[in-house]
Amino acid sequence: MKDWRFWFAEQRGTFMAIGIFLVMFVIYSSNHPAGFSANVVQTASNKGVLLAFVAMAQALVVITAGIDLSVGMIFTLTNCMASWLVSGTPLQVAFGVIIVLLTGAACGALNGAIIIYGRLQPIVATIATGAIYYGLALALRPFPGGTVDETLADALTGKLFHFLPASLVALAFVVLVVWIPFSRSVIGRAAYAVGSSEQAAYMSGVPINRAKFATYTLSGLLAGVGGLFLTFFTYTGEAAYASGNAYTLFSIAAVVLGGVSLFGGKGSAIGAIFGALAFRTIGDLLFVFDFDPLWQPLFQGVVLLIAVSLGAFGLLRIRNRLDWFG
Amino acid sequence: MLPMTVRDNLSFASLHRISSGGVINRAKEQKLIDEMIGLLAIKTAGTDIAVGSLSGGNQQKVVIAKWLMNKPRIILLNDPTRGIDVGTKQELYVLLRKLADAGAAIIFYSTDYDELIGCCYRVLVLYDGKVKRELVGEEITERALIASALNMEMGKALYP
Repeated sequence: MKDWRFWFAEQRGTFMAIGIFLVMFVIYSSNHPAGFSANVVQTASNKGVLLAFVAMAQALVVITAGIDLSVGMIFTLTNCMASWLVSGTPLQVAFGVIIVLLTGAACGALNGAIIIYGRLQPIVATIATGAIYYGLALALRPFPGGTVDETLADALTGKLFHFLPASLVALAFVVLVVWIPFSRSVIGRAAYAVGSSEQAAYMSGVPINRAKFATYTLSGLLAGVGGLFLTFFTYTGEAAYASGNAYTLFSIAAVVLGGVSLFGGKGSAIGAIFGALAFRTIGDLLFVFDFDPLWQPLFQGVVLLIAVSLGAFGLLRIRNRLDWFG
Repeated sequence: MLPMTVRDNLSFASLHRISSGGVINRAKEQKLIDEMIGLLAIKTAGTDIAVGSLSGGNQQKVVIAKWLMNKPRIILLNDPTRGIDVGTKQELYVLLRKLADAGAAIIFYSTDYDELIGCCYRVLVLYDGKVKRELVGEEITERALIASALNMEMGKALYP
């Protein structure tokens, strides 16, 4: 039988992220001028879901002790592609969506191939590929513009049954078809093993390369889903350098906030999602307290530092290494 | 993979056995794990506890169990009893006996003479990159082992 105490200890990071998110969101919505209403939740979730997708993409790679600094750029590139392709007849729209997602996956696969077979450090390799993806995005959309199928966009950013944000449902759906099968598969187990100790994983006959390749590819795919949603929210494509970079860095912050260890082998995409939602809420807190928006980066930084330190208090509690494992 | 659970660690070498179509069959996994924990008498508070929190001997057992989950017919062991306590050593010998009785061929590398004498049917002694001597059954004595390991003729006294 499963021992809940140990299971809970293992998932501590994830619960911590959920806790931080709930606290932040309660503060946010109770101080919001419009109160806790369906519209507030919808707007918040639409904004949060974008980062959640990118953070999930980052989490997969971080679990294998890698890092992907190109997620933000894949996100931007797929946004630009979607602004060209996802419009017209329903069939064209469907094709467009598939091509956009495949592009995301292909970008991730390229990262994976370079890191595994080219044996480059993930940081350097993904900085380089990120620049390439951004270059492609810029070639596609030198100036902001384009359109997207509005029926589909409105359906995915609106509300279901007048209260449930459709974007949250989409996020849940992606978790269901990507993360849940991944975490129960051989590849998923292997990804954790690689993150924990690549040497030991190799010695145990774990399919290391397959696992790494799969995580980078899935990461690209998830970033692509994020890019697609960005297009649905904004109705345009824009090769925005600053926003792409911000998403990359925020995704790392969200992943850490969500209890995924940067050393690999620990944490889950669920944690990263809540980390992302919490991070977004932290940024929005400012507006409900009516601060000058110029303070946002400073404020966001301070709250993030406090939130991450909360996790570090766990470390201080520990008397010895055995405690850490227990 | 010390911070990972006993369950994860045990499954790593036999993922292909407990999965179908790339998806892990939890029930099958649990059955094999329980079997292995029973067979090797691994002392653990549960399968969801980190391997790093077990004692050295039990960690060693987990490593061995990890491979035994593949139900191997030939088992290569490289000094499996190094650095573990006497009690666990004894349990390991009993386990090897059991595996051999079940039909597995065990190739056992060791630097401990008593261990070789106690466990083996046949001992091959290597010297200078070649098999120097093959000892079978009653021939396996400490004297014979040391003599061939040092490349000395049996029965000849070094100092007459």
